[in-house]
Parts: sequence; C-alpha cells; structure tokens
Amino acid sequence: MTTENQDITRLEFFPISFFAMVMGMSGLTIGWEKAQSLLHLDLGINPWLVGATSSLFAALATIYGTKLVLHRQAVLKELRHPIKLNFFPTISISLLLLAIAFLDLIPTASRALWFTGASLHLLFTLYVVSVWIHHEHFQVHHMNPAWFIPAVGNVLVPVAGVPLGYPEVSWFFFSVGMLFWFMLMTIILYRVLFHHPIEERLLPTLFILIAPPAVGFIAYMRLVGELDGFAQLLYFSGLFLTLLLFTQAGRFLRLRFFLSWWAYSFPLAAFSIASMMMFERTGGDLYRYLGIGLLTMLTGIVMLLLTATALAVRERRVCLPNH
Amino acid sequence: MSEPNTALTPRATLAAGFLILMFFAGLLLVYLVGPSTPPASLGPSASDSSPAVTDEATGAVASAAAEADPPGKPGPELSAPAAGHLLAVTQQRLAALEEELEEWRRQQAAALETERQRVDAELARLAHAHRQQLEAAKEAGAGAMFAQLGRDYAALQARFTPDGILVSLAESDLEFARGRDTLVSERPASLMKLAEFLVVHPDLQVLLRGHTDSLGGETANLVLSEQRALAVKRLLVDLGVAEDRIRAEGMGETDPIADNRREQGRERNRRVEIYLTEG
Repeated sequence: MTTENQDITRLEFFPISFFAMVMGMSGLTIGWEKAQSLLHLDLGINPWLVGATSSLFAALATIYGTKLVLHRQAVLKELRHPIKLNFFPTISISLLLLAIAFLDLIPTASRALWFTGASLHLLFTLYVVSVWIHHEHFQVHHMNPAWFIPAVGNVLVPVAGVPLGYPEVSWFFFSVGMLFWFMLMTIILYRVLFHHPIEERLLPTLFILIAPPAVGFIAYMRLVGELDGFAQLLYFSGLFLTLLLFTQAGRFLRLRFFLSWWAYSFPLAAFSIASMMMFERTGGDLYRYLGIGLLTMLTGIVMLLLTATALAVRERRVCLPNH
Repeated sequence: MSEPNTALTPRATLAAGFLILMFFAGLLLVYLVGPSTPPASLGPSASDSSPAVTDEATGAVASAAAEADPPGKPGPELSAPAAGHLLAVTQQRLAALEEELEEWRRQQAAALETERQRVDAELARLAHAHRQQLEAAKEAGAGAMFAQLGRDYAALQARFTPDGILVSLAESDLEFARGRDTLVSERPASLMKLAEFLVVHPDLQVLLRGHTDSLGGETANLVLSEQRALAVKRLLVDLGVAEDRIRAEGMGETDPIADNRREQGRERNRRVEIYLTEG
C-alpha cells in the first residue's frame, strides 16, 4: 500500500478476513515442520516460514489496530455483521497456530501466544455465540460455513495446550469445539439442502468443513495419545469431506478471487498433518503419500493465493465497501 | 474481475494443472526419500514403545541407508544392486538390533533373578536372626509361621532401595475407589500379609508414601495421595501395628514411575509405597 490520501479511506474498509491469510500460512508452516521430521529431511525452511508468518501477523495486526483507532465505527460495523463477525476469531486462531509453530523453536513465546490466543478465543466464542442467540436479523441464508471458524479455534487449543501442560483447559476447549461441530454441521447441511445456494463469494469456506474433524483428530491424539475408535472416526470423517470437496473442484475453479479463498488453505493443512500423524501411528504408506502430496499441493495453493492477493491489493479489488 | 463464471477459464485450467502437478511432486518426494517407516514395522503395538526408542531405531536405519549409499553415486536414485545392498545392510542391522534386544532381555531377566536371590538372602538372614530371637523365647511355632511370611513378603515383590525395603502397592492392589481415599475392602489381602509381617517384626519402622497420576489438580492430588497413605496407616493400626511405628506422607503427582500419558502408566503411578527400615 502506498501513501496516498485514498489509502486512508481504504483502511476503513480493511477487512477482518485478511487474518485468514495467517491461518493458511501457519498451517503451511506447521505442515512443513511435521513433514520434515517425518521424512528425516532438513530443508532449512522452518525459520523462513515461521518468520514470514509472524511478520504477516504483525503487519495485519498493526493495520487492523490502526483501523480500530481511526475508524472505530467501521470495526463495530464488522462486529455486528452477520457474516464478517465470524471472521474475528481468525485473530485468536492465528495466535494459537503461531503458538504451535513456535512450540519447538521458542517455548516461552509459544506459551505466551497460547495464553493470549486461548483466552481471546474464549471471549470471541462467547461473544459470537451470544450474538447468534440474541440475533434479530439472522435469516437462514446468513448461515454459511464461516460459522465454523469460532468452533475450529476451540478444537485447536489442545494441540499446543497439552504439550505446554494444560490438559484440563485443553479438554474444555476441545469439548466446546466438538459440541459446536455437531450442531453446525447439521444446520449447514439443512441450509445447503433446502435453501437457495450459498453466495459464490463464500463457497470456498465450505472447505472449513474439513477442519473440525481434521484438527479434532490432531487434538484428540494429543489429549488421549492412542488411536482409538473415536480418533479414527474423526480422521475418516475428515477424509470423506476432503474427497467430497475435491469432487467439487470444477465449481471452485470457476470462482473469482475473494479473500475468503484463503479458507481453502488452512483445512487442507490440517488434514495433511492429520494424515502424517496417521502414518506415524499405523505405518500405512498411503497416509504418508496422501499427507505429503496434500502438503505440496497446499504449497501450490498458497503460492497462487499469495499472488492473487498481491494482485488484488494492487488492483484495488480488496478493501472496498461491501467486501 | 472480468472472468466469466460459467466455464473454466484457461487461467483456471492452468491453476488446476499446477495444483495437480504439485500433488504429484509431493508423491515423488515421498517416493525418493524412500521407506523410512520405523513405526510401520512395529505395528499398532508401537504405541507402547517410547518415542525415544523409535527415534533411535529410525536413526539406525537412516544411518544404515547412509552407509549403504555407494560412494560413487551421490544421487537419490538407487540402482538395483545398490538397493539390494541397502536391503542386505538394513536386514543385517535389523538382525543386530533384534539380537541386542534379546541380549537386553536376557540381562534384564538375569538382573531380576539376582535381585530376587538378594531379597531371598536378605529375608533368610532376617528370618535367621529372628528365629534365634524366637528360639530364645522358645516359640518354634512362630518361627515356622515367619518362614511362611518371608515367602509371602517375597511374593509382594519387595525391592531394596536406599530408603529401605520397598513394597509398592498399586491402587488396584489396595482396592481404592478411583479418586477416593476409601478402601473398598476392609481387609485387602496384600495389607493383611504386611500387617502380620510387621507384628512379627516389631523392630521395623514403616514409611507410607502415597502417589497419584497427573490427572487432576496438583494440590488435589497431593491431598489425595496423603489421605490414601493415611488410610493405609489406619488400616495397619487396626490390624495391630503400633501407630508410632508408621509414618504416612503424600507425594502427589511429583514422582511418577511410568508414563502419565498412557492409561497403563497412570495406573502404575497411582500407588502407595511402603518402605521398611530397621530401628
């Protein structure tokens, strides 16, 4: 962004969904951390990926913080918007993901990030759910997969929480996440089956359906440590949803670029990591191929998304009213 | 912004092709790195082995692979003879590892046997000393009973530690209800034996140490472990052991003897240790 007068008004429309980028980037980072240890390779990319992701988060946080100071009304409007509201927890999710990425590198930083992320996420979840309950303006077509975002963050807490030594807190968040997963899955299927189609701009968020079972699997493995029936149920639900969405690839490829495209990235990373964990537990070579294949594909997706985002920013197609 | 929404644009096709290519690049990467599948060979039971052991095994296989790399061929592709060689070396390494494992098992068994003999010898010595005492009191019958107790004592799997003779009783031996300090049975067999033994040995002091697993709050666990040690003490007192001979303390979750992340480990950690010291 350059320093023109226009930019001040653009800042007003700087969308909260930008934080979905951090989710995608940290998913990629954690995925590659895992893959390298799995394949006994050291590509030397960890510091770069972690650095890039953290800087991106810092940059977005600064910009959005400035928006909060200069355009408080705009932020409040987003907080009251039935769809954009659900993107606010991407901030706390980003913190939780960074906590996972930093877990082996700088444990103290990881702990601080986890604490902030988890508490912030609890607040966001409570806020979002209370808005859901005390709504006056929700129609069934407002229901869209972005509603899963607050739920996913809860499931994410144990992934760093258990290694950091907070099993009970982790179980709390895990339970909340699972509770909302079952509920929202039912609602979203109802809406997709019986009402008019989801807005094109939000179609990519269907990918987030993969996230609760995939992240849930990773979290559950941390909590319980054994590949029991429930763990397999989570993993294979994730696998089914992944297959389902890949059969829809044609539809997705026809879409124009929106920031919500970043929603493709994180759930794929989660499922790729889940597959790698499956390989570690069962030794089935198929999981390893699937995990790494998805990870390299995700790398491709992130490259495309970064390019598309950069182009969109340059051509001034984001940060507009109504986006 | 101008792309039509109905048909696949060339750009979209390109993107799809690129992504499919990336996917196969990943498959190729895995294929080239080769089968580094230590957890696979161990199967589902691998979950019982500690990660450190697995890592070590992986390292061994990896180094075997490194050794197997013929010096003139640095590329990742292995020719057929090289692959054969690698297989042979890996198999050799595997055999060596298995042998090591077997050797380790034998050593463990031997160590266990030595330990058992030491316990027996110690018990025999105690028995002898005591029998002399008893003989002085002309109670040959009690001596026979003591020999029986000595065998029971060995059956309790006592160990010698710097803190005294240690008998570790698991939660299930003691029949504590989960998370409670009350005993289900009024007279657990394990404690009856111990009490009888202590009555015959008035010179032995008893230290009871309660331990818990890591589930639950630290303070709650500390209290629970102490309560359990005290419950065992009350029972021993009820069974006729003088109160001033028994000290009870709780260690909480601070001293695990097994991995708290597994149920079996947690079960082993929930225990009351009984240390017997002379004087």
